[in-house]
Amino acid sequence: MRHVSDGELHAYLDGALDALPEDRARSIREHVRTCPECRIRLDEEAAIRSRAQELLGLTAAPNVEFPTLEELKEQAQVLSDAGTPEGETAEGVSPSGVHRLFRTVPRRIVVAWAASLVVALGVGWFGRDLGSGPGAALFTDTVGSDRRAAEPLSSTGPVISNERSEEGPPSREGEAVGVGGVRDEIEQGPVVAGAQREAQRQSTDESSRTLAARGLAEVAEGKTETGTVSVATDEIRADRAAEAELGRAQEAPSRVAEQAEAERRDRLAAEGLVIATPVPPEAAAMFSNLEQGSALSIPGLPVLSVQATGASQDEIRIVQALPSGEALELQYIPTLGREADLAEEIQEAQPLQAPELAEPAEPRALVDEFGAPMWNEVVVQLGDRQLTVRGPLATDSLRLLIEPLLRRR
Amino acid sequence: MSIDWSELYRATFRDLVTFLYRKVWDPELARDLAQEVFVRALRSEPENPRAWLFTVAANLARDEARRVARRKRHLALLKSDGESRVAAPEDPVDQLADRERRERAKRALSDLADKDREVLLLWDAGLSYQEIATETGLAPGSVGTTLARARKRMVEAYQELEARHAARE
Repeated sequence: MRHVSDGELHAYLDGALDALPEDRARSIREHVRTCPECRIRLDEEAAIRSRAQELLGLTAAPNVEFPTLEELKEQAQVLSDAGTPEGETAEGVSPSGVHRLFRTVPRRIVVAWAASLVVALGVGWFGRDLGSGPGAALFTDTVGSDRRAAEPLSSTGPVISNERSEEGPPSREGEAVGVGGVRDEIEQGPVVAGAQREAQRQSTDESSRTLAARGLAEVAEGKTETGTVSVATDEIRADRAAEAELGRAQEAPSRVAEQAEAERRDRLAAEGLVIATPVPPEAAAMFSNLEQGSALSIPGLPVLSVQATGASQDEIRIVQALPSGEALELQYIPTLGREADLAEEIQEAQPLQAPELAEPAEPRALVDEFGAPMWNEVVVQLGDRQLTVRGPLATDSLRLLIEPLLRRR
Repeated sequence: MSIDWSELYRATFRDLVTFLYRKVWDPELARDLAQEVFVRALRSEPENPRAWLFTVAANLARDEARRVARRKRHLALLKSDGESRVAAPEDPVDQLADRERRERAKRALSDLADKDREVLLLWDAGLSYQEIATETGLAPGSVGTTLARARKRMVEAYQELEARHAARE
């Protein structure tokens, strides 16, 4: 059989031979087991794989605060309520600008802006009939378009068919949010979009506006001019998010505690899930017989490597695979007579000329993908040696695992 | 099919942020994009949510990267480092060395061919060879080859950067 290619070796190491035709996968497993040349290459590729993983760990994202699942659900609800089309498939993406809710507008500003807008909408709504009543002077011709825009957002077309509507067809909010709107502003840049809004503002008599009318004018502009539609709709969504936030703030104390606890649980769970140095199932299976007869390893777990370490080479480090595919490390350090000859025990623990997986056994690689150590360790004294067991498990679980070793002594 | 959103969030969100960060090199933007992707998933309820999330994230990051490139901010972003989850060494000399290592690793990853980097990041994000093949258009049998090349080149690029750095000192 021909030798195994580098790509196939990596598929082997990644435990991904199932992506290949079954016959080929079987012959690769067989070949790797029997070909000395490919075994050497396997070790080399395993080292490269491990080193690349280590380097990827150096590119981990710095700490940022994550939104909670509840916040994400609220965002989805806001978009649904706003009638924003889903329009997302894995193949074609139409950026909806959701992230702008958090990214581009500081929350406090959103809250303040939303509060003023709520007031504005209220004043506008209740004042919509004032044009014919005693308070008509408050809404002169110069703010007529603002008054019309004070109709509920669900009212479309005719409600905002003021003089600006001639510049383009009225848009429904749902239609407004898509690639075009967001991208238009991105392409133009916030300065250009802002200048457009400013120019529109100046076209009316600024001095005659009330604060409420000014807020309404922004809504009207957003709904009638294509280039800035996305701004208004994004802001409307931001407004709704802010309202939700205001509501959340009122139930703060218990929610904060709940959220902190949920985040803590999520964080712990996430850390537990991260596979630091995945042990490929094939590789693990290959060494599964190595633990037999060893007095030093945990029975039932495949032994991946056994090494003599330390300055005097009198320490033993054993790496075993957990059922999850993660590694577990046992380190025996003599505390009495460090000159003790442990060669015999090493031999015992390493029958059948066990090839080592070079890098996965290196403790320095055993960090989560953010580069943070994620292992616990338990230290016990076993006769004249100190045993340290380290692994991605709770300390209670580690103690349970080494119980058989304690009983042997 | 009913999706266990709590489980999906727990198992995926951090990976999503990491995946996106390695494309845009801006932690807050990565977080915001991950948020957007997840919100979309909540609304779309895809059949294979994990693969779907990373596929949409890849597309979104591509759009974002183009925009960032237009604004010529990428160099500045590459330099911004921020606080890492790894506790920074206390010794200023060690801190500097640590920061340089991270920047070299970023550079080594960024210098990979687009396809190689994509496959490497998708694998690191937990997608299977089959899912990576579907996402990238590669044959399933080519994913391993691409990964082997990407890993090797990243390691070599890092070593080269390290050697250059050593030669300067």
